[in-house]
Amino acid sequence: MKKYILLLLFLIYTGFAEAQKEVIVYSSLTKSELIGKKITFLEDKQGTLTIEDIQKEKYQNQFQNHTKDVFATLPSSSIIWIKTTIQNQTNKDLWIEIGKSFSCWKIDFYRPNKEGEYQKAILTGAARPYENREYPTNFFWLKLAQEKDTQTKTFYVKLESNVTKTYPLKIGTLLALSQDKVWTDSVTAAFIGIMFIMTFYNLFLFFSTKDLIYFLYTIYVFLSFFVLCFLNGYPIFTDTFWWTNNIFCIGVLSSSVSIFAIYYLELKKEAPLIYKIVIGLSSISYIVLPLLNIMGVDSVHLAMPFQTVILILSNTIVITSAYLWYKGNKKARFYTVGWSFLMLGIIIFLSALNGIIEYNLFTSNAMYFGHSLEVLLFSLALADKLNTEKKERQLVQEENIRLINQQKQVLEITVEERTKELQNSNLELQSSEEKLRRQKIEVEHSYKELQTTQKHLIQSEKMATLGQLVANIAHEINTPLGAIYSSSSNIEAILLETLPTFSTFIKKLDKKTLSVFNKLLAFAIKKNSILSTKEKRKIKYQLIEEFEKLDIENSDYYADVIMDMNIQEQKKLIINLLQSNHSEEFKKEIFETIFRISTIIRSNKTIKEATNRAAKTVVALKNFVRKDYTQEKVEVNLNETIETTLTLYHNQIKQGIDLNCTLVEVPSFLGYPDELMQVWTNLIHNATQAMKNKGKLIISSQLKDDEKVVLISMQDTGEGIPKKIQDKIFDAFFTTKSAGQGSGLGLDITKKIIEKHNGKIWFETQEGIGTTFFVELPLK
Amino acid sequence: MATKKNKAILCVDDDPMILMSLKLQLTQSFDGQFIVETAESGEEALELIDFLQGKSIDTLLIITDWLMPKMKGDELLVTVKKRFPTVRQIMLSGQAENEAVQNAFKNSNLKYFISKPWNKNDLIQKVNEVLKN
Repeated sequence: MKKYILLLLFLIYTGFAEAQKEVIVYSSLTKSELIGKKITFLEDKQGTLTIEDIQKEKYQNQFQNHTKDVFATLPSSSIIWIKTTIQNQTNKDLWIEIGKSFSCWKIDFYRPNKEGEYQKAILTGAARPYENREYPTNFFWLKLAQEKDTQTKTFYVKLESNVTKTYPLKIGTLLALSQDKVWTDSVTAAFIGIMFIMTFYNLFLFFSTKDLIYFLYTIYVFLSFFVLCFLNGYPIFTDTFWWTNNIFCIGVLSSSVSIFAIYYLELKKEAPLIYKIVIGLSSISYIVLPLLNIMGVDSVHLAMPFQTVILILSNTIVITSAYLWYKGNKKARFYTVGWSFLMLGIIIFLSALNGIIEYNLFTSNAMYFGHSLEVLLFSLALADKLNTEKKERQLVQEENIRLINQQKQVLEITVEERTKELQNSNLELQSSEEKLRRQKIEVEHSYKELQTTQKHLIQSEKMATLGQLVANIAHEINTPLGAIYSSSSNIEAILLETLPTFSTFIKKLDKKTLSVFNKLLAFAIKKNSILSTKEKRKIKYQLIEEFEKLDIENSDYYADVIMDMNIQEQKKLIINLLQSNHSEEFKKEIFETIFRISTIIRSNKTIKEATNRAAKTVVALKNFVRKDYTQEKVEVNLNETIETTLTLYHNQIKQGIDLNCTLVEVPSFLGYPDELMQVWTNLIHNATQAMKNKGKLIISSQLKDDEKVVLISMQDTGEGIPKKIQDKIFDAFFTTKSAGQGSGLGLDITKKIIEKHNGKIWFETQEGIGTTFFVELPLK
Repeated sequence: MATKKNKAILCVDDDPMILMSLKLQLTQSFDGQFIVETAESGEEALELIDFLQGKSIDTLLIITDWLMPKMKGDELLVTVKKRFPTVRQIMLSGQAENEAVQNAFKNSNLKYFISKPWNKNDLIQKVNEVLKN
């Protein structure tokens, strides 16, 4: 930077005046004095002149007046000769300060002896051994005059430097110079302090944030402290290497400026083109030129290009920064302002160097202040970055919290929904449970109903069977009723006809006839006919023929009546009577009377028989349809249950079935007689159906196992049970009958009833031959 | 020679009690005008008509039960109509299937159906009526 400023300075610099001898009379004890304006100088471009050459008039005339407080020129290989004439009027030693910068590479100081001769130069400077220094300071103090030596003396100083030559020449007593130096030291110390603080501060920030920018800034601050101190005459290393290779040193150290700028301003992202330019220029200034320097190229040749590139580079960065600031980049604002402070410091320093403003403690150290301010500002900027980041983090955190809250809300809503769903599910479950309970109740109810239905079914099965028997039953009842009714009316008719004349008739009978009458009547009353109508008819017509042969009149009448009375066996007696001498009318009256009287008896017998039959049917029916299923067992007369059933089936069986029923006497046992009758009904019904009402039905019973068990068998001569349905016949609702003819419950119920009596039922069958059902019942 | 009856009324029923009563009623009511014959089944009845024809006895009327083993009443009447178209017919039954009775009315000479138990006068009146035609 300094070089840049010096370049500017050079451009402005115009003051060349005629060499002028002026004696500096110094008298102040405590105040130093800048003597830039009171010296003359000579530029030895070849660098070959000696003190002897200088003293020649030719060169003495080449000395020019200097018009500024600070002597400064651009870098060149020229050697500068300074000539000053001083008179010490203080009573102290008088000293001259050549400069504090690294411009004081090599200093040859010529002090005249008492004779005014310049013998041996004092060789000092940054590039000279430290012990050569007359006074232990970096500012290169040289004694001009002893105390009380008031002689006016002319001094020559030969200055050699391969960088910008800046010499703020100053004279004063040690006291005055030290006073100045204390201030300068203090300012530098303050600057170093600030730099160190900032270094550690940013290092701390780096370690706490792990943000690379703080580390880069730390390096920047630390190195700039090195460079600035180096430039200002406070080098930490005093090796001549640094002075000979100053471009390399400054270049390498200054590279942090570009790196920091690139990272801080995010040039790669914010200004890609500038980024490339910066990288390119940086490569030249911080890599190419320092490399050339270290490879042996003299700094004096590299200084100008170096300063030019640095000038362009720094201007580029500052302008870019300002542009980015203008674009709204907050960081660029800090950067621009920070660099502006540095620039301001540099301008002030330059102005002081150029004599525009006074060269004093402040202006001479303006770069310190500028740089300090810049560093402070950057630190603030970085702290602000930290704050911004913190705020951003806070924002992010807040956003996160907001998101978390939102999620929490969402979660809560979800949880609420789930809870509701669960509650609903629970409710559903409860209602399901309720439903289940209801269903259970329904099922239980249905089961009860089923039980009832089953009872009803059993009953209706029975009634269905009965329905099929209705024809039989009606017949079974109406037939005896018809017989009774007609018989009674017959008796009535006979009595009405016979009684009025009976006594007269009896009186008409002789003894012999009466005896025949009585005999025949007795036979007629006694005998029951066992002959069929066919047989009777056969006999009757035989009798008719016989009677006709015997010339018996009304033979057909007599034969008929005889057969009706079943007295054909008394044929001889009858023929005798009919061949007797009695009138035909009387004979007929005798027979008619016997017939009538015997008819009364027979009719009466018929009535009795018919009454019995009707009663039996009614009782059987009553037993059969009895509904009250008392759960208690009652005494069972097994044979009676079978006979009752047979009674009901009497007519049906009689129609075409040859019934053979042989039952052994069975001791009564406890059971359900009506249910057993159901069993027999089913079995007989099935048998008659299997036989299609024609065949042989053999019912028999026998006692087994010490009379503990009775085995009843019912054998039919039906078609038998087909093999494929043999397994199913005891199943509920299995039927071979067409719809409406059977419920299919018959054998299922039968089996259940038998099992209820702890009995067994099974069958043997042969297709085409018949089936035998066996029922085994325990008697106890 | 006593006048020989050559007209018969035929009673068919599987129950001898009924036959006996019926025969008695008919005999009493018609005072020997007709021979009253009985048969215990349809088959026998048909046989009997043949038999009586052989004896030159006309069967004027057949009174039959319906529910009998083997041949039922309607079946008998239909057969009788085919073979002996002049024989009048009455059915006297304690129980009969409606269909069967309808069948008989349609396909035979059946004039009356009398239910058991029957009224003697009613029976005689109907017999008279049938015989008149």
